[in-house]
Amino acid sequence: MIKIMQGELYRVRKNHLFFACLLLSVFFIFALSLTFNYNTIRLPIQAGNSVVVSITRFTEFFFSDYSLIIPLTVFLIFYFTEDYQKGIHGILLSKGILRRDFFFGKLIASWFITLFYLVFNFLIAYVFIFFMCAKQPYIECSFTHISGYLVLQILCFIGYSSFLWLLSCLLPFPGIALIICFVLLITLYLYLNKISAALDLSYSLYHYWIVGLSHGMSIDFYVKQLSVIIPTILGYILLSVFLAFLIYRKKDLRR
Amino acid sequence: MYGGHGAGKTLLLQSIIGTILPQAGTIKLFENTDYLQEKRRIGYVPQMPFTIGRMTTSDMLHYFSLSFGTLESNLVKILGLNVYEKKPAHKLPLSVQRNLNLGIALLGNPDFVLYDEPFDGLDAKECEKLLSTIALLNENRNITFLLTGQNYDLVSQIATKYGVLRNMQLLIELTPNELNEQCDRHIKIRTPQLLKAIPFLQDEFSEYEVLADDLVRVFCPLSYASALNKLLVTAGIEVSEIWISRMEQQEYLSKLAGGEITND
Repeated sequence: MIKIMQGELYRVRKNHLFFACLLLSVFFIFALSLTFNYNTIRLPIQAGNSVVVSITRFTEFFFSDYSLIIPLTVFLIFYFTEDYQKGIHGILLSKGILRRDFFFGKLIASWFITLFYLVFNFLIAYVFIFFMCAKQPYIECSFTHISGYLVLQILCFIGYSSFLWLLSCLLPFPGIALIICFVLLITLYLYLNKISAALDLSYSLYHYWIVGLSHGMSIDFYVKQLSVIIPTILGYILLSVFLAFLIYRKKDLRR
Repeated sequence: MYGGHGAGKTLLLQSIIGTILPQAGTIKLFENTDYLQEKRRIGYVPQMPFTIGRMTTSDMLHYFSLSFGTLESNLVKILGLNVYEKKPAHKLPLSVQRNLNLGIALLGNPDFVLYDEPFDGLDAKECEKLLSTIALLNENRNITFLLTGQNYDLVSQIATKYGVLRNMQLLIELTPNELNEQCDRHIKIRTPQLLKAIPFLQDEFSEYEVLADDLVRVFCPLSYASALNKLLVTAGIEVSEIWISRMEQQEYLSKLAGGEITND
């Protein structure tokens, strides 16, 4: 399994799509930083108000739309389905690599890739905002709250990548899997968000969808909601992995 | 492994390598029923060449050697692979892609290589080159190759055993000598009363083939020629001609694989 992970990480290093998606996410992050800068610094200054730059609010704003989800979805779907399209399974299995080892090796490699992708984007985002706010006299920042929040966000993204792995096991065609992903993202956003609002639920239904959880998680309340957030994330990770493994171990892996 | 389209050649290879799980039966590799233990000793080259993204020859060899946990192959020279090639592998000619796939199958020095339709899409020169590479690997490295396909003329230059597959079943295994004997063992009979002759032939010889209105070919030991002649004449059937004939190996294999003749 370790060998598979090594191989997969090498493969991602050689993958141009990964760097294209990383570049796209950096562009989105830059756009988010500019928006935040305009809304929280420029506008109050123009209105003659005092300005307090909050890194905590910026961190929350960072996940306020699908800027990070979309490039990662595109990369992971192509990365997961490529093995089916190119017939890589046959070559690996022919050398005695077990299905189980390939399954978990690739999955864990994808988690590492997700982690790298997020940490890289976090760093870029904070570099952007610090440059933009360098002249401001007061910057508010709560490291403990932010770090806990970012860890939960990383877990959400790992849960989402596990869900994509399950989806690619069910539908090993990049085009179809990608369309389903985007339809899910849009539909669940529109549908669950409105239902939750209409029912006035304290912990929105929308939060039970892993992307919605990441999107709607509040930095001020996440500690209080940990008892709901953690089971939701673990449910996504464990259930996705379990179902995907059930499918994969019996799956016809021909090209 | 000779067989027509849909005979099950690729399916058999896919079962051995594990991309599909057999519903019944057992697979033995190197006399070991726990064939997973022995899979490290095999290599597989698929019919359709595979490449990954924009990886170059050297990237692909490195990726698979990392995944297999083996050293990179020292056979690149024999295979004529250029590891300094900067072009992505998917932009290289088909024959180079196939050689690269063979190079990947040879990682870890396997004893047995499954090569699916090796001559598909190659021109005559490339086929000759591939044949000499396979022969060289067999002689110098003691690697056994299982080739699938329908091209007898090419394969006959190196093959030491033939298997014929039909409807997912291995019908027969033959050495080149046995194949020649099988091709030699038939008798042609010309008779104007063919319809009358067929019931007699059916009773005595299960393998026969009607070639024309007055011509039939019977597959049997050549020593049966006189008995066959006697049988027809005794039954009052006029025999215009009877002679020992032979069939080309390619034709024999095709007919056997196509079910036009059976084997006993």
